[in-house]
Amino acid sequence: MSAEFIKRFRDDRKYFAIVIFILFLIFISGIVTPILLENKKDKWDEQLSDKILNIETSVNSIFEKREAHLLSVSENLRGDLRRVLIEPAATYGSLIRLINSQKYSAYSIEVLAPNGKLIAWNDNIAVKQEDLLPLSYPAGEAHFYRSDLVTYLTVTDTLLVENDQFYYLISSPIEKHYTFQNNYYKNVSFTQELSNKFFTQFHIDYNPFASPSRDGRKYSFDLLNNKSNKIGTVTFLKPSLEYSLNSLKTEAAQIQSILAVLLIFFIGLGFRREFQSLKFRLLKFFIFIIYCAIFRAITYFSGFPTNMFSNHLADPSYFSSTFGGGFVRSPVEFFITVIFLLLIAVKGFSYSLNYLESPDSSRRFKYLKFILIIPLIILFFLTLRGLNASIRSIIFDSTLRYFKEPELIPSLPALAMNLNTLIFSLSVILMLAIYVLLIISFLRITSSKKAKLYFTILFIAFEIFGILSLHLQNTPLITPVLSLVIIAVLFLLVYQICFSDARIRIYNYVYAMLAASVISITLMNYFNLELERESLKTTALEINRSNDNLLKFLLSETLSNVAKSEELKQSFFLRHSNYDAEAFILWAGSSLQKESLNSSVTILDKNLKQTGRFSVGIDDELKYLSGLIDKTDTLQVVQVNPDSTKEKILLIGLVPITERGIVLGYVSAAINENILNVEGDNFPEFLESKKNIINSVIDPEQLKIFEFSNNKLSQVYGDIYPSLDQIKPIINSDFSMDNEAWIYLSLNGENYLTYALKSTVDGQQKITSVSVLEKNLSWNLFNFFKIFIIHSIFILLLFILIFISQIKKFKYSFRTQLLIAFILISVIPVIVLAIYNRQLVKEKTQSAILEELRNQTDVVENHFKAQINNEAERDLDKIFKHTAREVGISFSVYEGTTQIFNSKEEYYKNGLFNDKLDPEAYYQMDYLNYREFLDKEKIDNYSYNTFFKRVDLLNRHLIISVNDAFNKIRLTYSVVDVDVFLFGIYSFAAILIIIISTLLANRISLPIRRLTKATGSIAHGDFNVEINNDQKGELKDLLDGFNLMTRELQKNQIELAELERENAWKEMAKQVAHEIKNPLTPMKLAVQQLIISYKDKNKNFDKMFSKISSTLLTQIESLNQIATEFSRFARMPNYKMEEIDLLPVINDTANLFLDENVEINVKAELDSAAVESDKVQLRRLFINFIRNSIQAHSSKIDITVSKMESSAQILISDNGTGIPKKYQGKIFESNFTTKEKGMGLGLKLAKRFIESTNGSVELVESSEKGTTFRIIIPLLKNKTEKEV
Amino acid sequence: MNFLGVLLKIILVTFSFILISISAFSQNKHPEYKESKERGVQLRTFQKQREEFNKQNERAGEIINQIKTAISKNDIESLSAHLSAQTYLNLPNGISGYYSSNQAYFVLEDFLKTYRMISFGFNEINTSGNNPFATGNYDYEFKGKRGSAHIYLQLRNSGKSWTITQITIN
Repeated sequence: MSAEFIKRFRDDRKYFAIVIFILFLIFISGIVTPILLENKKDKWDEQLSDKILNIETSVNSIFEKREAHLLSVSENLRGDLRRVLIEPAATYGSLIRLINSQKYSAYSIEVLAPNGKLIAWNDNIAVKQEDLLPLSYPAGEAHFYRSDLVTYLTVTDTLLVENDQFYYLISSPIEKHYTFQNNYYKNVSFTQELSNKFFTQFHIDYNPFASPSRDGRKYSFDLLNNKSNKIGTVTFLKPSLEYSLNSLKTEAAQIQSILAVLLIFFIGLGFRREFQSLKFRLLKFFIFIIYCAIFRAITYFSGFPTNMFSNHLADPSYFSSTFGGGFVRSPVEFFITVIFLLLIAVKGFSYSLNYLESPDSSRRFKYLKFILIIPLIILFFLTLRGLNASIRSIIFDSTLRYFKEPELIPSLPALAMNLNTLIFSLSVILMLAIYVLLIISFLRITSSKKAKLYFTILFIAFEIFGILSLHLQNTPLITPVLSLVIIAVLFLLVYQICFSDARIRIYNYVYAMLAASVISITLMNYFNLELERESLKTTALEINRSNDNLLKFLLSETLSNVAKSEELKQSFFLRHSNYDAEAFILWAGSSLQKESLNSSVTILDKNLKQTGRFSVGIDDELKYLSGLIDKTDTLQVVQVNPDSTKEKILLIGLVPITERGIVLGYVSAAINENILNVEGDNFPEFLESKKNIINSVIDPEQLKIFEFSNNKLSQVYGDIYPSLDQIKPIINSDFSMDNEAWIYLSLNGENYLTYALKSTVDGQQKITSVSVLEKNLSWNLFNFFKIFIIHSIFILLLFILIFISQIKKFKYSFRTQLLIAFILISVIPVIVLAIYNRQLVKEKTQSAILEELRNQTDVVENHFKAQINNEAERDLDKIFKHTAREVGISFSVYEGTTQIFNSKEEYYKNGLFNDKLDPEAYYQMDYLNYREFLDKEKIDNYSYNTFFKRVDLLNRHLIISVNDAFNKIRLTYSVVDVDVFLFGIYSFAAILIIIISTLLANRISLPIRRLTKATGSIAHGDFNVEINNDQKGELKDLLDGFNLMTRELQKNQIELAELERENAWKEMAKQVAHEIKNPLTPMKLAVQQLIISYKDKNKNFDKMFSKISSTLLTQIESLNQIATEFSRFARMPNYKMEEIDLLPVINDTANLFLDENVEINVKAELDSAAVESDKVQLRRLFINFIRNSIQAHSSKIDITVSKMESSAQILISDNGTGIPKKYQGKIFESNFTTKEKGMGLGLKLAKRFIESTNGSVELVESSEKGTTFRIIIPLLKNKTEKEV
Repeated sequence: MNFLGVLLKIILVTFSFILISISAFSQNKHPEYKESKERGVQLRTFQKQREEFNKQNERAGEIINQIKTAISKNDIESLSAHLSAQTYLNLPNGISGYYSSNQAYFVLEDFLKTYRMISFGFNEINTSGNNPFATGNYDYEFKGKRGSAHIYLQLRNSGKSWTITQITIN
């Protein structure tokens, strides 16, 4: 019974066993989940204690690992330092290089001499010099050190070198107390790491004296160091039952969703055999589409795999569209959808090609097909519009700015979206190609002798239809030129598909991908231009968004959050708090940074005296604080008009910081907003928020913004101050219902597209206009290459994948050798050139930066010297301050290693930047006496260049430094811009080189391949082969010689055959004579004996007569036997019967004609067709039929092998001139031929051979449009054929 | 197949295509087209409609209440009906910037799903002027952690009705 049951799950049916198992698992998970939930509820108290204990143990373990790692690095450092300090040849440079090496770049290292002086340090100084000694913790003991902005895990240790005790500190950041919302910020937070890991709120007090929380909802424990001393306290919110239950439910749902996806997958596998046995391609295709649609729907509704992703790929902000009910709601969902779409497109494409190649395709439903052409054309243009709309959505419904990605290889979401766009475009391009191929087939263009001419006519017709269809659309998405380009690229692809070599058809997918890439980038570029136009509107909206209501909200929100800050309250109790750092922490964590607003945060003591401050783009707002002093007990926000106008808004607020009702101090915050902050000019790049509303689409430098109040120009952004005539078109614009207008402005002889938005603020009419110059071609080329670099990687990957899949068929042929040689010769120089040019550009860029910073330093130095000469009473400090105010360049001045002045002192006072001289600069300028030095420095992920120069002022040796973090340097082209052009052009060139090399290798090796094939044909007995010779030079001579040789061989073969036949006849005659003679002699003797007996009247005559008659009859019988034997010998050739597979025989035979001017399509509906026959005779038979077709001027021959009852049916159809009706009955007769040189034996012999194998051959039909023969050969019964 | 035959076929297909396309594409009228057709008429009655807009100002409060209900019920469908073509979103999960209505739908849906609302309400609603706004508090639970944020909602008159131009939750 069980054996019977198991038998049911053989072959594809085995997948149903998996399906049943998955169903069982789903059922079980449905039952088990509620039980687990109930169990969790019942035993929660017990589990909670375990969970808390588990969290405590895990946190300790995580911390111990981190601590152990730091101690191990410290040990390594000790060894390295000892080596450097002991080595006689070691220099100070070796020490600086060691601690600034990549190996220690993640740590802050400080080395102190035995006298306690700091002698070496690296870029990140953690511990302030005044806190270094005396050591707060014993040597070798890990502890926390809180700097102004960061808490470090630190180890201090000693190092004995020749009786001198050196000290060194190594620190690793563990908690940053400030946060930015931008791409440069590198988050380091042990608290956040734990909160995310254990799904509960953590708080860590990095203080050995911290006390545990008294809140019953929280749990606290001590954090111990490597010497088991308390160095901090960890407090966390006890896990909640509700969250645990929800987590369990989510996990169960995720498991069920994976099971559901697996279920549908295995159901599909289980029905594979049934699917494959379906005869109608169209039906199969529709079933495949339905299966894919169901599969996709189940993955979508089960949340698989989106729920498994918690990164950017599942973030709808990168791309989401409501199209298809949310099937493309994030990059990962879009990816899954396009994969299914691609599967459908590839299947459809493959079915279409099979259909087009099948012999019946051009014969059935001729008129219906002709009618179908029109819907196909309409479908083509609707699909094309769908492609345009989708690419538009990819640009518009995404925050990704594909053409403005800062790096050559974009971020993961942009990379994923580029891949999605390419796959989607490829799918649509394949669909469009299917429509065109079907139309070509229905019009029977490729089977025509003027195929290429008709193809060109069809192409022109489509171009005209494209333009017509755009005119017919109410809202065309693209321009006629774009339509022309897209259709041209598409027809190039279709041409390649129609007229390419059948064996390399798989590479058509590479061509299709290339076409998809070109079309999709062209469309992306076009819609990006549209988006840029649209961004003018967004910019105007953004300027108008920042109204006083919003600013008031942001200020109130900032101050109310500040009032709750426990850290700020604690700082009021500490003696040496750095309030500048506290102000910066408050500002960085507020909406003021998030919105990149000109703003400030000021900390005041309880007497309203300033103690700390951080500001960007705002200076003297505190003078308006007097308006708030009257009511200091609550949060207040007021609006003031600094210039007594309504254009500039200044909002200032104040909030008291209280603890148990006692005022500890105050915090004031202010915002100053106007359109001049569009670019965020006041913001250093590392502080700018990632919001980048305007930056994200268009370069703000290109914008010209004008604001009008009551039709009078009130504010201008940009380098053009327009005249009255120039702004008239804006004021007189015809504003729509939405109070907006689009116009063209002529400014300085150039055309600017302008968006104007009208609004009313406090009774005043306000117009905001934003203009941008029209784009030029080079910019568009930049955009094209920017995306093409990414696409080319995917195209090359596909090429490599196809190449690997075809590796079994790979031959190291003459063509392959040529191809490899071409590619090597052309691609290697391209790569070398690309690398060289990139290096060159990098160096040029670096020297341009150096030059610019040097110029700025010179300006600063000259200004110093001018003041020394002209203003003798000024001391250096005054000189520095004057210079900072007057030259508009940010700079620092050092004396020794100490910073004595900085024009951006707020960034140094709060601890964001080190005020110690860069160690490399110190070494280069102080030890090696260089006058100038350029160094690359970093703050989080932001890199900048700093230029140092030694100067002597008033007999003091100073160092001036200028960096590009505070002094923005505008380069004509950045390294990334040049990379895009270089690698874009080179990758495009590489792909073109590969294509051209392939074509050239094909062309050059063509005569050799023809020669090889022809030689093979001759070896198989086909002497009718002749190579078309359109070559020149030696190749012409070679091919002519070959053709001559073939003709001679053929002639000799005929003569030889005749000679052989003659000899055979002679031999046979001899044999016959010999064999006949044998019985004739006894017969003659017997008859002579009988005559003698008769004449002698022998009395035994009767007896003798009877005996002799018997002898004669025996001999006559013998003669008869001999005659029969010879007859049989003459009739039956000696066939070598064996079991063979028909399909390889037919394919091999067809391959012999690959280089003939005929297209032979072999199509088999069977995997194999085993028959008993003579392989050589069978091959000869097919050669005969194919040669007959070629001689009947056929351009296409279709050979179809199918199963008919228990036999194999082979249909051979051609499109030749056909057999005239009067001859159709005679073709299988001996000596019948219509050819000049024919013997009339071919078909007769073929028929005789096939009939000898119990098969049959017949003429199915023949007309002037072609001929079809049917051959039936019995299949071997014991063999099971697998149907496709 | 001769040249003339193919040419005739192509001409026949072209005419048929034009005839069928005219009806096919004209049925596929874009809403903006209808809008632009209506725009001419609307401009003529600009003054009259301005008065209507002033009346619509009164509807702003009503719309803010609808938005409040939608957020309270986690009803993204109702909320999305009030989104502008470009809505500025600033949310605690790092979302910040202008989003198309398509994107805003899913961005807000994701936010409301992951930052599960515990309590929500507006404590100030101002419907006067060109930019009606509301401010309030949004208390949430995110991955087992509770948090509290301030919410700022701003509307803009888009010609026909009030739409959300900004949602800031900090």
